[in-house]
Amino acid sequence: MARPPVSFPPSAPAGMAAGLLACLLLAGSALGERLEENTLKAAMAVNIARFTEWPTLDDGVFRLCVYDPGGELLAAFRDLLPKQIHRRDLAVAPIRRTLELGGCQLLFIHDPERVASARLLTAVEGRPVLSIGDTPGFARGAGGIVNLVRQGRKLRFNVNLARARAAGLRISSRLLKLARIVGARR
Amino acid sequence: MNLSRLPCLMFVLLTLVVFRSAPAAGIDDLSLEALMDMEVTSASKKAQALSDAPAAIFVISRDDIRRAGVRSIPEALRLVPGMHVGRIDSNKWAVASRGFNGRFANKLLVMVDGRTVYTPVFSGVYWESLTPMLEDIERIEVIRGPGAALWGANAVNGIINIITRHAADTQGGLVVFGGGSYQKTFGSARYGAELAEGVYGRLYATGFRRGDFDLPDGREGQDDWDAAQSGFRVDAQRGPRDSLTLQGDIGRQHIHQHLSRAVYAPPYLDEFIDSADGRNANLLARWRHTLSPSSEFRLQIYWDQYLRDEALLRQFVSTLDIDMQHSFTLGRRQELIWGLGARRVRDDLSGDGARATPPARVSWLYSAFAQDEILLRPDHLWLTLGVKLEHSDYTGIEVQPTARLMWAWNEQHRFWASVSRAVRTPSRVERTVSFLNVVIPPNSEFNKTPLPLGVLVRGSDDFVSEELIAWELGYRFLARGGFSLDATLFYNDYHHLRANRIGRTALVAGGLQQQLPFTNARSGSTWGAEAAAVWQGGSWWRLDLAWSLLKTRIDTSAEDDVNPQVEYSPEHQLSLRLALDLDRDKRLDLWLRHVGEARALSAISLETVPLDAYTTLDARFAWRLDEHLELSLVARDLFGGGIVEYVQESFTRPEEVPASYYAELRWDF
Repeated sequence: MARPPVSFPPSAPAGMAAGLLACLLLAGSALGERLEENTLKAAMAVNIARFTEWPTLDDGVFRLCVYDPGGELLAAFRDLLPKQIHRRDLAVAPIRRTLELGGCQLLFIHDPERVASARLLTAVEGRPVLSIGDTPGFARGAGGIVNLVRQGRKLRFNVNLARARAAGLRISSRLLKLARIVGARR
Repeated sequence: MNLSRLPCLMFVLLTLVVFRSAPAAGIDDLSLEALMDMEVTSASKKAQALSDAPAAIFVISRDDIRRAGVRSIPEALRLVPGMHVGRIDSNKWAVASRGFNGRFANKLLVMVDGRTVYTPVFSGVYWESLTPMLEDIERIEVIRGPGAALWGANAVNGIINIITRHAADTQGGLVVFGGGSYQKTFGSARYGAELAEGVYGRLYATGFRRGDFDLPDGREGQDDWDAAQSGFRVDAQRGPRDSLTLQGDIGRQHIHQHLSRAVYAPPYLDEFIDSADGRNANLLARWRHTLSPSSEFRLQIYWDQYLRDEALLRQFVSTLDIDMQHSFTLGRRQELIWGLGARRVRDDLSGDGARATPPARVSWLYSAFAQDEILLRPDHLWLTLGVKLEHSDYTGIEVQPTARLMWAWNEQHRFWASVSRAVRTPSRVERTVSFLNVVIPPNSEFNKTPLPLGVLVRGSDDFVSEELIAWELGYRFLARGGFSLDATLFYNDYHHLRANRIGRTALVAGGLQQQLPFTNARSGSTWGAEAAAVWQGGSWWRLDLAWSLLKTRIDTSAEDDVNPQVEYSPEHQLSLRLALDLDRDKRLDLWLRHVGEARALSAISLETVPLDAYTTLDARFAWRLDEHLELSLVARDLFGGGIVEYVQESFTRPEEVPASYYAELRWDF
């Protein structure tokens, strides 16, 4: 990519230095196969939903609920739009209270402070809601179904199969081949 | 650096941004296998505008702290729009939001993991004693404006919530060390492990040694200092319904400070280098129990103790606090939360610079609060009503209500409005402590008598709470393509603000003494605007803008009010931060700040001191050498070198903030 020449007013040695430094460093840089953490999490969650079957789905929209008081993941989910899941338009709904959980098919919980997970997960327990979280132990003791976990520089996921079944969700074998199964086997 | 260079620098930065277009994402089409093959880069997405809290909230993320290249909490707070951070000397800061700044600023509530860290002695914060391991902070949540209905007294002009990371998120080891010009040396080490199924813990130690600043006349400030802190945190999950947190820290600081003590003999000021000693310790336990999907109970107990031994004053304060909260839903439209709290504070004040009567004291604070969040129209309209009742030994019951409305017009535009009442209860100093602030030479402008005149500032039994009625309006805009804006307008109406009145005049050894007891004779108002904008142009660059305007009007005409106007916070502040991911391993951050002119009160010079406007630049370059090792170079306060950012009200001389640099190595395993 050709860069047009930029002329610097002579009164700005500091600005020029900063600019030159940045230009030097930019030269030759290339973006590899990598993604910003939240974007990757959002893309993965949507993909996991594609390989999950719900007992029934309303016509119209697929409601993807996100608990994320910091807003970082929400931003990533919104940037993925427009999208479809199971031929339904994806609607991203920010959730803060259990009252708002009605109609959620997927519930993504980003709760590094662990202030809301317990309440939200108890509220969807046994209901056909695919819960996905990114805190360690989410699919085990915390009561969730899918846990996105960092392994080195890559993102992996754990699935609590027993809990998915109890919720009436069927997860495809293709997905399970890529996942690590946690919790009770049957 | 003057402002004329600013457009040029901006031009350079924007040029850089425009000529590197973002790569087409195409993430939507990637398979799960492809996604699992992707490398994760650290989280950088951010939009304050996504928050649906009906308050002026700003979140400083872990990534922000790291990329800003700051090594202390007050420096990180410079990221927040409307927050004024003024460096006084090497180890002191003045921090305030929405005006009324000062080293002894008293309208901010500061907490670390739910534990209050402001001192009841003067209702302010010793920022130099707040030295957590920065790498283990999850985020710093800053609410500008009152939060008293939930948090209680002192949450008048803002709340700062420092939240450390859950122990499950700090598994493995981390070692950070570095050094440079002002940051002589610093280092942190942490190790975390899963202690049992669902039980995570970590241990850490952190410390630093920092150099001194210079006085404007070229002399060394001799205010170098060092600090060390160590602590632990254990988080346990017992089934999906119970979680338990236990955490504690111990710390100590050795602080050199350039002090001036008022004396009755010429030159009426005794300047000396003081070696102050600070120690603090705390222990906190929190239990969270989910009673049902719609109901949760939380119990928190903490103990906190600090000792600060410096010339003029020695303080020992021990706090025990117990607090419970219960939240539940009522019907399909209401979420209620209520709670009770009790706090016992034991203090012991001594020293030759201040006299406390009684020197030791035990005080109790009781509180109760309730808040109802009502969904008027699901997904669109929420109303929050709340009130806190608080009983303190000094002022009895205080009632602090709030009403807040949040309206989400659609996904892109949201509005909120609020009206609240908050109080700032009297501190120990304002009620029971007296200190000699300054001695005015005889036959001078302010003292026509032939005897030196000592000014004794004195706590007063009639001093009551300062009171605020705050009105706020907010707007949040989320555009397609990574631009977002969060803007707030506020109007604050204050009554019973602190002032001093002329008290008794007495003949004492060495001269005359004029007493100035505290009164609530002053009123005033402030209004202003704050805006935070983020432009995330691509996955590799982000521009963060924070801007604020503050207008202050203080009525000092009351007969009982002898102080000059002390309130001159900067009217304008601007912060512009450019974060660049140059390639997979290199990151560059440039942070430009402009702080408008202001004034500070200085008892030593008997008047307010003008503080010039300044513009400064920080830069950080980080290079990931391999998966576990990162080297970063940081330059701070470039174009600075000799800015007096702020002057303390009493006891110290103005000092200049130098330009500085440091290198840091970070290794995780």
